[in-house]
Amino acid sequence: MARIVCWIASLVLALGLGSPAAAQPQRLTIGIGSVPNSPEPHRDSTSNAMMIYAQMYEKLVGVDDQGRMVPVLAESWRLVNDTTWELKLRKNVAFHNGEPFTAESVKFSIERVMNPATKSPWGGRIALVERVEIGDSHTLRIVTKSPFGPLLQGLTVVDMLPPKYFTEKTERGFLEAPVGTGPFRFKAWAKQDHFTFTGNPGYWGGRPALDEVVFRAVPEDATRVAGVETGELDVALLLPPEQVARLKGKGIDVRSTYQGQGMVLQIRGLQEPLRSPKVRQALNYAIDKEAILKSILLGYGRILDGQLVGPDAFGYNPALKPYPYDPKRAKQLLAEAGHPNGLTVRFNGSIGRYTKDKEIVEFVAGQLAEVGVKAQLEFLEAGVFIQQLMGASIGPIWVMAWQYFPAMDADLPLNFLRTEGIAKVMASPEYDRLFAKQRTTMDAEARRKALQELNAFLRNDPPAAFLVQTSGIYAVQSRVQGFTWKATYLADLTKVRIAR
Amino acid sequence: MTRFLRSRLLDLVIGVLGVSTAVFFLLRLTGDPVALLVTETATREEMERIREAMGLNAPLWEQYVSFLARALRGDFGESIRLAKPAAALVWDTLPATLELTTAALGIATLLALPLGMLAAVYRGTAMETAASVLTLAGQSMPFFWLGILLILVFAVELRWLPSFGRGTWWHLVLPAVTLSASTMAKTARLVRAGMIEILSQEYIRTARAKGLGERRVILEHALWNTAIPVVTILALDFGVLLGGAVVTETIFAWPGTGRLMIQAIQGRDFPVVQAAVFILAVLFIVVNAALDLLYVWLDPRIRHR
Repeated sequence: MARIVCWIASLVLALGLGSPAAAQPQRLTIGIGSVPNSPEPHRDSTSNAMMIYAQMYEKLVGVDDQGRMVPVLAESWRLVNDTTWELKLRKNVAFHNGEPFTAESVKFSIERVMNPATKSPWGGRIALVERVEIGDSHTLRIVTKSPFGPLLQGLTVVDMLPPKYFTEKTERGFLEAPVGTGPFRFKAWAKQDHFTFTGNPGYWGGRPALDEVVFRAVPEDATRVAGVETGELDVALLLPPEQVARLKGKGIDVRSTYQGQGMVLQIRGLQEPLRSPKVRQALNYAIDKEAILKSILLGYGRILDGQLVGPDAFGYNPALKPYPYDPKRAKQLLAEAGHPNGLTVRFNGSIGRYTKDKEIVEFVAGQLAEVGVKAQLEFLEAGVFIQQLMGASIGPIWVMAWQYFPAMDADLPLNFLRTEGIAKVMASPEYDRLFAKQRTTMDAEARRKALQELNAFLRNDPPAAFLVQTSGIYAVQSRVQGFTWKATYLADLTKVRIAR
Repeated sequence: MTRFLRSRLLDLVIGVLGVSTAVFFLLRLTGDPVALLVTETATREEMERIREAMGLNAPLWEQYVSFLARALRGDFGESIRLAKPAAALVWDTLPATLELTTAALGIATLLALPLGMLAAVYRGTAMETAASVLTLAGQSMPFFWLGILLILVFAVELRWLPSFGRGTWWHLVLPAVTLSASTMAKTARLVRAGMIEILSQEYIRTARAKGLGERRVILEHALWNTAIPVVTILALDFGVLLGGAVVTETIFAWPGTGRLMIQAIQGRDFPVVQAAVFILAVLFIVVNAALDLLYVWLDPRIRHR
């Protein structure tokens, strides 16, 4: 008994009087819907995984707030000829294990993403790369099979890995102690639970103020909100709009960022009764975008200007305007297209795939009914939704949000609309020609014009009813300084600190 | 005894075979893992390339036979999404789920027995009304709603307990109470009904007549005899708890098999779903068989039947 008392007493002493003088570590806990299934960065393309990986791994290039390419591990780049880029790498960069970052690392990482055995979902973004040629330790050339305009954009998703360490350890060993070049080092992870990083004192961009960053997986929205109310979370990401007032009422700082994501009512125009552009225009006139934004999203987001991307995307066309809400015009167009008594069409929705998607889908179905378009509403489970999308059996109308982050380039959603696009949305030789022109244009400004031209084409012959660019709502404790969440879905934590 | 064990073993084989066959084919009917693996801008060739690499191009029956053959050896293949054996993923998360379900089972039993007993003994009083309101509420509140309610009251307002995660014993309280509610309510009603019937039996009258105190009559003679139906319902409800764990684990960010399964189903990670269902089915059937053995101990007459 005495021994137990002694033991407890010493434990209390140890806990209570441990080291009162030592400075408290700077620790940031972020609540997020999910954490990646593995520290392997080339296989998980989900947005949350991308954001978490970005703390420890880095790419060659990134994108700033205006959609311009900015250097990360590549210091500069130039076009040698239409199929060759030369990149100069940042010097004195090392992986967390000390292995220097060189042209070898770039070659290894790009080849790994492109290798079918890796099963990387990012492979398609750089599929046209033919080879990577090493010049010297910090110079390399990327050669493509044919001119490929958005190559740098493709590189914004390719994380750099250390070839020597990876090969020595093999993949399994690497995943137990992964290293990158980023501002934070890997500390621990537990499936479905958390990812923990510690500050990298040798970071080339300067030592981050935070000692530790924890990403906690809290899948339920209401629980993330509770976590930020109780102080268990310093930051909670992706909160539902209806919780904002409650949190603000409790004095919690709630912010939002436009996301590089455009939500639309996608329309497959390949089959009747949607073949006529007039019908697809009618669907655009039939929907009150303002009402969706105000009453369902509570103002979080902005109406798309008659195109798939927002003003923060490269290739956004400022000359285009949203379709106004005009049900009369919609009815008239339907009549002109040979549907004076309206039409019936299958309409697929999702639940929980995007913020408020179910409510938006139900609202849209109601609006379509008012102009005589009877939507046979069918909600699909996430897996079935994707399968039908990829198998081109979804719809012919469905709700979908096009992500153009982190590259912030209109090429991503527009690529999907080519005739050989996987969901078979449209088949227009004219569109395909314009798209190919965009893809093979190497001059950035000329490519921007080509993308704008594509957007203008789609405004008149719409493959969708354009709805809103979504917003990401997040809450931050007042003690957290310098945290911002960007349209790219990324958060730079190097400047974040916790105030005492 | 050997006959008993043999019949239980047969149950196990038939049950697990049935469940895994159903899961194997249902999963393949509803989704394509490759479609979920690539980004939405993938091309058909890319998908085909990955499908080939994963062996999903083989005929379905061939995949099924090889699945069964390997499953018997405890090998469920590699997870499609994670470079790890599917069974290992399930074993990793199982302790968290068992911790949650056994805690819920414990709470349900500990609350249900006194609640049901009091409701039966104090019939027609406010005590019975209170107990029946409580059990009705417990049975009709969905896990989801109750869980969020408990978080708001005990974590956000009162700040007594953490709102999510697994770590200390305190973390276990809210999810376990949430998960226990419906089983608790069902069991309490059963105890009450059983008690009411037993209290009118002749041997109870005899016990009272020979001068035993009311406490001994109820605790020793009456309560013991409600044990068999109670054990039965708890055993069956173990399955309900495993199912409820899926929702409860999501609300409380509890890293268990339930969430693993949700994620695997959404990603059509066939090997993981199959391993999870297989292992949980075996667990459920084994627990039920174990409780059957408990009957024999509770009621020796069963052995002689």
